[in-house]
Amino acid sequence: MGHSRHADPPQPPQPPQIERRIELPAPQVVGVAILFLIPLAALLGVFDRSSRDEHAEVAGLEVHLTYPERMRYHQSGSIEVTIRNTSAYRSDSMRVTFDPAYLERFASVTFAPSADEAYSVALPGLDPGRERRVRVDLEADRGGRQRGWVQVEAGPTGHAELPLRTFVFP
Amino acid sequence: MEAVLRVAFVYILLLAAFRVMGKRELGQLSPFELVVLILIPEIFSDALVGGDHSMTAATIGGSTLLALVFLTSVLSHRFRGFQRLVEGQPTVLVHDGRFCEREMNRTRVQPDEVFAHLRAAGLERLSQVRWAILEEDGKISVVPRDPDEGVDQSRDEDIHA
Repeated sequence: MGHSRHADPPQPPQPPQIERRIELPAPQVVGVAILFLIPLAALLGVFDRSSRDEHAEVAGLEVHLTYPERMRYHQSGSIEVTIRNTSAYRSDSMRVTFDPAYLERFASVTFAPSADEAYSVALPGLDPGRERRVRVDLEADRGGRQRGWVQVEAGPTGHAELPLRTFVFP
Repeated sequence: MEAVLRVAFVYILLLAAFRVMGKRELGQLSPFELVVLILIPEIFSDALVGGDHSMTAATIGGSTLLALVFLTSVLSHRFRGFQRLVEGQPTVLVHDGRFCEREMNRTRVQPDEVFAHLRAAGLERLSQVRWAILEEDGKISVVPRDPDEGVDQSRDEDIHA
């Protein structure tokens, strides 16, 4: 029973080496490019939630709308309408109405302040320099492009309509 | 963006973890080790999706994982050093009818396991083995000695330290 001792372990025959280079057939190059494009686009934020702003002026009121431009399925978002009185006078009472067809494509829709009519919120008049905000929280429930509008009415003549365009990734 | 980073982090973590665990764990899983391995995706699944169960998140996560696997294979093919880093190197367990004790201890391979592979290769004695090698994928390859070579049965208990 002879126990032999070696400093380095023996090595089996090694394979001959080739010049290592990457050679991909053309269809695979296309497939790989697409494969890498998806995470790259994700890193650049293409699939991330984003919001969009719209502005309008109506009867001495400045209307600022923020709404989700891109969302993912089941992701939460919110629409905010901020109305600021930029005139020197107290404004008439206002009404903010959201497109029912647009909101029906979302789930868990809640209004703050509460809607007094379907998809419509009444606001009292505003003193000069003051602002009020209407917020609608919602959850994306249907993939694809969703289009709608928000109407702001102030007094008998003031009227503005702002677009809502949201893309929901499935 | 977050999904890509989560998947990349878990991929690198698992790659490093499996390299640290060694080749034996890949090729010689006991039933308990198999159960532990099955638990890994259970543990990581929630962290990977980050609460986002949309098809978009799944597509991003899946394509990120496949892109990383492809990138690893390309780098392994192109650079031998990277291949060694990621895949390791074969380990000699038996040479010319002798156990390589140090390598067997390092890779935690039992003599019984080597003999099981010898028997699978139709061999019954250590002295019949030219090479027994623990490959990068955790499998043990056995190369028998030339039958024309004289078999020295006294080597059956020899050990390379």
